[in-house]
Amino acid sequence: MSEPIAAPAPPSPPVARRRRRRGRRPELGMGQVNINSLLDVLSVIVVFLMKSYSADTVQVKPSPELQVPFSHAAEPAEQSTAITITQHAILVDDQAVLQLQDGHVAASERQGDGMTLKALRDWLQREVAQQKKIAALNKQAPFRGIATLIADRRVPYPLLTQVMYTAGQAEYGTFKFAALHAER
Amino acid sequence: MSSAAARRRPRASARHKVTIESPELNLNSMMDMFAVLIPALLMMSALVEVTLLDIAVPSLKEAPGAAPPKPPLELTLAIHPEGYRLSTQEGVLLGKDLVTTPVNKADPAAMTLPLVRQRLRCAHYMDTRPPPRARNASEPACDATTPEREFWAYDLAGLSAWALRLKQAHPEARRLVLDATADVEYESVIDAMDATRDNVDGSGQARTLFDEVLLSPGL
Repeated sequence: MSEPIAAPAPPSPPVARRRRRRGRRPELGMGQVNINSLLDVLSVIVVFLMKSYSADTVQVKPSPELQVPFSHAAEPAEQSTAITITQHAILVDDQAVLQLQDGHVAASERQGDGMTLKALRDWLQREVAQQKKIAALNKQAPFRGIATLIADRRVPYPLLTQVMYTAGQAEYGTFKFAALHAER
Repeated sequence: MSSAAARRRPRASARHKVTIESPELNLNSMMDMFAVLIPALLMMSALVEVTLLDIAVPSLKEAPGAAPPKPPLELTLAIHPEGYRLSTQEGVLLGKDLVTTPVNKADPAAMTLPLVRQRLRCAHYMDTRPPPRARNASEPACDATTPEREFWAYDLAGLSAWALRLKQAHPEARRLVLDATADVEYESVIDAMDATRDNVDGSGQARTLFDEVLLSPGL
């Protein structure tokens, strides 16, 4: 025999009061999300990113072709001409100047003693001429002849010295090697 | 007029008052702009800290093979695929004492610090091997699954110890001439410069060793 179904107990007084109140609640339309605070956050992020972007004078974008080695050195980057040596090309300020074959410069691209890379020297000389022109017009930006080398970790030593020798011929007298900072 | 009549009929200024609701700015386009700008800036900004190493290259404007300026110590570090060779004008530094030995420099056995077999952290060598890579070519490459792996490596700790002893013997010396064979890679040069530039003792005190590095055109 089945048990008789008990009648539902009347809701307790506070619950009933809440239900009544809910019933009286007016219909609400589509609520609008206030995005002012979100915009504030995004504005701060954009300003921060733009500031950090402009502060870094040496930009290193690691890729399979450009794996920069690590170093414990702690010297900050400074304004200079960036010469990048990847596995396949030599770039000056992100402009490809010379293609490499198996990590080496073809003999036809070298001059005289084999240490001078003709295309790179011509490019750097134009760059120096432009920097000197700017320096003549703006005393705040003198030509200092600093070149920062951003090289792939697998670049052979002779290529490194060839690039530095060529840059030296184009009046670059101060060299800096870029590396990723690593703690000891 | 009684106060009740004043309540019934509003004043003229109040009758003509037009309720102006404050308009809401449509910020959707601004949000769209931010949504484009932030990923673009994130992609452009380098999330790695770049550091620089100074190189003194007075000889690079001269013809290759020209003798670099000779400081009193004339300390030269030659990086070979077989290891490091430290030498002064008197000869090669061999053994554990600061005694130079005149040896045939082409002899691969005459290394101050030959390669050592040691466990290295893979974090800096993902998908590759540490230098000298030709010697480690038969070893499996580092990957994310292995934090450490055993490789042939240059004896950086030994080089740092040698540099410290030489600095103690010649406190005035700052210059190191760095030379390498054609098959030595750039990473080995940076590692050697790191090991000889300064030394940090147990108390965390840093001491500058050979911070003027001069690159030679090559062996």
